[in-house]
Amino acid sequence: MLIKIAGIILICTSSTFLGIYHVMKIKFHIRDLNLLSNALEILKSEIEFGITPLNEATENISKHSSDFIKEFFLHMNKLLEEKRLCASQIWLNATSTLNKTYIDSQDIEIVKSFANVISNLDRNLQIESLNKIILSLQKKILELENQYQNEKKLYYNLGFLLGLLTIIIFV
Amino acid sequence: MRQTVENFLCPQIKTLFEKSIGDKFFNGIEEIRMRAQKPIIIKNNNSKWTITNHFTLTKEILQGYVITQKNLFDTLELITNYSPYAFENEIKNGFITISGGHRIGFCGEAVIENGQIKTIRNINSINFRIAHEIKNCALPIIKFIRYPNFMNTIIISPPGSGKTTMLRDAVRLLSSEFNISVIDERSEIGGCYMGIIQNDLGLHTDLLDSCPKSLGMIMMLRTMSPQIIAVDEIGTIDDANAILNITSCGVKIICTAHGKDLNDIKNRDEIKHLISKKIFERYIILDSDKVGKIKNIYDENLNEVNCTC
Repeated sequence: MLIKIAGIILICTSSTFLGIYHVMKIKFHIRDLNLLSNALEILKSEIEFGITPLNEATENISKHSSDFIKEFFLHMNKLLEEKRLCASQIWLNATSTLNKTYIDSQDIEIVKSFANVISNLDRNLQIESLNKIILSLQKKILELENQYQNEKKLYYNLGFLLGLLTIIIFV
Repeated sequence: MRQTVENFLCPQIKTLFEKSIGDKFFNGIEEIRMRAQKPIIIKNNNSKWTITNHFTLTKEILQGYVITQKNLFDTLELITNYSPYAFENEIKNGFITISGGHRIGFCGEAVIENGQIKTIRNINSINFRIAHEIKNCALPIIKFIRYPNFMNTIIISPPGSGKTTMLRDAVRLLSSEFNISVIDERSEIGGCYMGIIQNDLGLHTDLLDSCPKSLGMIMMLRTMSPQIIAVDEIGTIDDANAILNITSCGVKIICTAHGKDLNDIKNRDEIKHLISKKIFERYIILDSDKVGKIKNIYDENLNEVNCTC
């Protein structure tokens, strides 16, 4: 009997956690997109107002950030200092570090588009491109926030109910 | 010097240089010319060379490695540290000074906005001008311009005859005795890179980089209390007026101007006025056939000074 109760509790808890995890994934996705969007905003400011060369800009941003953003800009800085690849390849290479985050491939593709203008002679083009990327990310954040609000309760309850159903079927 | 320059060449060209050029030859390089769809040309001691695809140096230019648009693009990225936007002004002016004081000139399609060059795009030609400091090359002129007191001096020669090199060394030599302010509009004298003077201009030299000469002369006069002001290639009425202004304040001038000989510059509006006012006390004419060789020296009355150099 004791084992049965323990099993019931285990099933209920793990299925509830599954529901919570699904919801939290959206939350982490929003968090990572926010971090990325802020970092790109700083990069834009470094280009627009500071007219800071990319190697200095990436170093500055990596110093003042944490988590995957630090890794992204540190990796980029390292490649820029090595001077083996061209700027667009360096940007594409750096975006590969985003695969380890909750940011999905669609968002990464948007970020990758900056590679097309990264070494353009026209600063306005780079700023415009960054603006577009930031705007797209912000739009995605809004969508995810709506999704989070709508699905939060649903998945919490669904997880618990799924556990309950499993118990009813097997017990 | 070699490493500094090679670091700004795209990987493909860098490999060509590494595999085909020895240090001795490299130290004699004056120019590296990269033109799209044309062979790379290296100017060394007044002769032109190229590098073949098989890593050999030859004077048969047509056998040379043909520069691609991508080579130019990659080189430009390296020169601008992957950040062309940070070099907007330099690109607009057509050149960038790199560490070591070497100058890289560009050519391409000029983008015009309101009658002014906004930028240069589609770069089709890059020219590395390797800076060579020739210390003591101005020693022969010092005795004619220094004693008994420093005399306002103008060095005259056609392009490529060593005016700037001579001015740079004269500044270095005079700097041991005088406070000198240099206005380096095109970063040719000091070869300033990230604010640091790359060439030896002496202990008592202040340098104002990338500033128009006429504005810079007045600014330095007011701020740095120089005894001598040095500028390269005077060429406008504004420059001439600024020289009049500073000399009337008791500050001496040493400058250069393009010209074949004295007659050539006598007819130029901006200098004519200075000659008639006897502003310059020494006119140093350099030989157009031999780089750095003094041809004639004239005094303020345009009489030749006896020089056996």
